[in-house]
Amino acid sequence: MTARVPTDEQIAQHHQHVIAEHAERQPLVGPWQDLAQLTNEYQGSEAYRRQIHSLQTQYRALRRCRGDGNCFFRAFAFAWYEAIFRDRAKVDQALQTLAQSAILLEAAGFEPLAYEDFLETCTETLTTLSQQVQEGLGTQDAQTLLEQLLDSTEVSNAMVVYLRFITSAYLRQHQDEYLPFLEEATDMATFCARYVEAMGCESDQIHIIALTRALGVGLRVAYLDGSQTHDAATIHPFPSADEWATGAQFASLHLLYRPGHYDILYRQ
Amino acid sequence: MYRKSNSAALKRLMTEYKELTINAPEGITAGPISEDNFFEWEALIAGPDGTPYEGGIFSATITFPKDYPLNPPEMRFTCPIFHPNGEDPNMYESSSERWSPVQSVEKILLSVISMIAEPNDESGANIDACKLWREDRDAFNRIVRENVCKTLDL
Repeated sequence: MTARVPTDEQIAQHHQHVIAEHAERQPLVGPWQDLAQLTNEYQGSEAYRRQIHSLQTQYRALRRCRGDGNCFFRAFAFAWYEAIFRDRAKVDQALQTLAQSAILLEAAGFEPLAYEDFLETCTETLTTLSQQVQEGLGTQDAQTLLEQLLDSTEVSNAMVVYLRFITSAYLRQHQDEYLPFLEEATDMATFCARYVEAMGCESDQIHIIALTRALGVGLRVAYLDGSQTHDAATIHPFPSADEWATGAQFASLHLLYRPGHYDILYRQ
Repeated sequence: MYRKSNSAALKRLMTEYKELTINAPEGITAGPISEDNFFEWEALIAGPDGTPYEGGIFSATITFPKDYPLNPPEMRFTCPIFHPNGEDPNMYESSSERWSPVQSVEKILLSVISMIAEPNDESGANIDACKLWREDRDAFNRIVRENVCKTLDL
């Protein structure tokens, strides 16, 4: 009897299946956790523990996002709404940004049919949150509502898709600037279809730069890489240090990056 | 009742159906098999003019996942079709191309039509059809014509 050897494709499929199954057991956006909990995960690695320790001088907590390839966009969506939903003026500004993003999408050739439902969910979710706060919903209840809405598959996925579309549209509209940085594809349309718009495709720096520029929302990403040479976690500002230096009025969002994954960070 | 997790897909499918009813591109008819279930569609595709498939009507079913358009639908021809890319229209999309939620039923059907007209011989699924298409176009066209007549019950 000959044992049947699985093909590469079958192995890859199985691999994907295992990852998907594992990911589905995690919440899309998890609860607030003390940063010290992260240290427990790295019992064997002094380098990581040193970096986490250095991170604790600036940050106190994290919120884990599901590792399904959408974690950057999911983390961004949550952190963005959480940073602004209690402030009426910031909500209005964000709603205006979202309305303008539709113009960017149209200019980049997106059909309304393809994006309008997702945009509507983004807008309605922020409006609902803001209204509840204006009507006097308590701090704790407001936080719970935010978590409920943004951990629901429908809202969270719609926001992920729409942020992917904005990123894609921005890259398509500024392709002369970004084309030289593409390693995976030779033209922007192919790159965007394969690596930006498709659900589950992981994000690189180019995605982060494009999204933060398109929305005018600044971001700091703390890199935890277990490097032996850097005891402190490196913190990268996006879209760029220069743009931060100009004092642009960024909502400042904070994410944690570990190779292949993003989570949300909270300052001390 | 549809569960909440379906409602975004349902809304999108209803919009697409409405659009396709009002504004169907030439050569395409598509819609739910029953209005009780918007996740199972039937499509009729007219063989493109100027090709041996001209005059033929090709039927297919389209099954949508509950999170459409985040994930792609599956399409199956429900009639025989002699074509280098085989009977599985999902293969008609160039295999390197990933699904993106920017797509729609209309875009899928249009790309199936263009693939019927211009086979992609790099991803041939029906080896016989591929070989014949490359080496003996007259014989290929003859089989396709016979096939078209069969699907029309002539």
